[in-house]
Amino acid sequence: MGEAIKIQVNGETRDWCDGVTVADLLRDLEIATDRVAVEVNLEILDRARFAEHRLRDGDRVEILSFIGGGALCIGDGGVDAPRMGESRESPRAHGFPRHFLKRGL
Amino acid sequence: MTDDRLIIAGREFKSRLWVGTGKYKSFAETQKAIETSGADVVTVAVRRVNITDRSKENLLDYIDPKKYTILPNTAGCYTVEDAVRYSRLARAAGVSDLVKLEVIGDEKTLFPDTAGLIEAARILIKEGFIVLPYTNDDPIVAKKLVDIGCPAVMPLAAPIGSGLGIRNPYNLKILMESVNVPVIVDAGVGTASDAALAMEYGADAVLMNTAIAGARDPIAMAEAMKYAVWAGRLAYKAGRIPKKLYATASSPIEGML
Repeated sequence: MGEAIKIQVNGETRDWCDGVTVADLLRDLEIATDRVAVEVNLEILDRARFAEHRLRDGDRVEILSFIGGGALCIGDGGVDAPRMGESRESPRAHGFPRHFLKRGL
Repeated sequence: MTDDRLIIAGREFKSRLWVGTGKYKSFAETQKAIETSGADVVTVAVRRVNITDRSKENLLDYIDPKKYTILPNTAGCYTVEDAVRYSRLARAAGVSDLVKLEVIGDEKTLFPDTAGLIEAARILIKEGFIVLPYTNDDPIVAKKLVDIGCPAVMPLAAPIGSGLGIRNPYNLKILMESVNVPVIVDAGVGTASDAALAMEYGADAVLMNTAIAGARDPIAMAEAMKYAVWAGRLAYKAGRIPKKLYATASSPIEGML
């Protein structure tokens, strides 16, 4: 194998062997190729090209998949979003007048 | 009710209850709730795969894409560019051309940015997407979305996750009369009666997530929602009696002493 190159995967920079393909990367990370989308330097890579597309030093790779979601989901603040009458900050911060919150709707 | 199918862009749906998959305690609970709800369309979000902890299970191991229509959303997207990017990623992840398009305008209300929504929808439709837009209860915007090629519209009942129920039934009714495509009431449902009401008003389907996932007993609420949507749909088709201020006797006067 050749020299080490630096590739950023999902925001994390790691060393990989020169000549590594997207398919190799997914295999190393133990990620099944079905149901993932891969973006290399902001360009979506067709699944059919995973095996042939060689990554280069400094490439930025994003690997995405489906997670649970309705409209806003875990991690986006959906779960942490305050309920009426139990605000994280001041009630005003969320735009509801105080008397509204006291009555709790 | 079995022959009362919902058809959008040539696709046939058995259930008029659509559900989200967020906020559940576990994938097992998600699976049980969805199964109980009878829904055949489930929404999912597109996010980075966790590359440090590969032990994490995948949602689609629990929600079989052969059994359910997977509807990816663009939740969390505040710009046209992001919404378009996430839609393309969702398609690349390989389920279908369907997308529940959200362009969020504001963090506090999560109300849609309708100008951005129309712009993003136009781009995606040109690229062959089947765009189901999450929109406001604004009939004019709904009409514009249909005009540019959306095969259905998804107006909100109330802010996402608020559980406030249908805040503007009259707008929603006008919206339903203004467009000739299916209307799926999306977001804001709090309990079964809200869902029934949406269907009684003439909605073609209802989409919800928090109302089920956030209930004390999500599985029981999923069942309640299933019946609520059925009841509302049946009542709509049956045709309700008009509201009157005064009584009308239902027992005959004839034959009284």
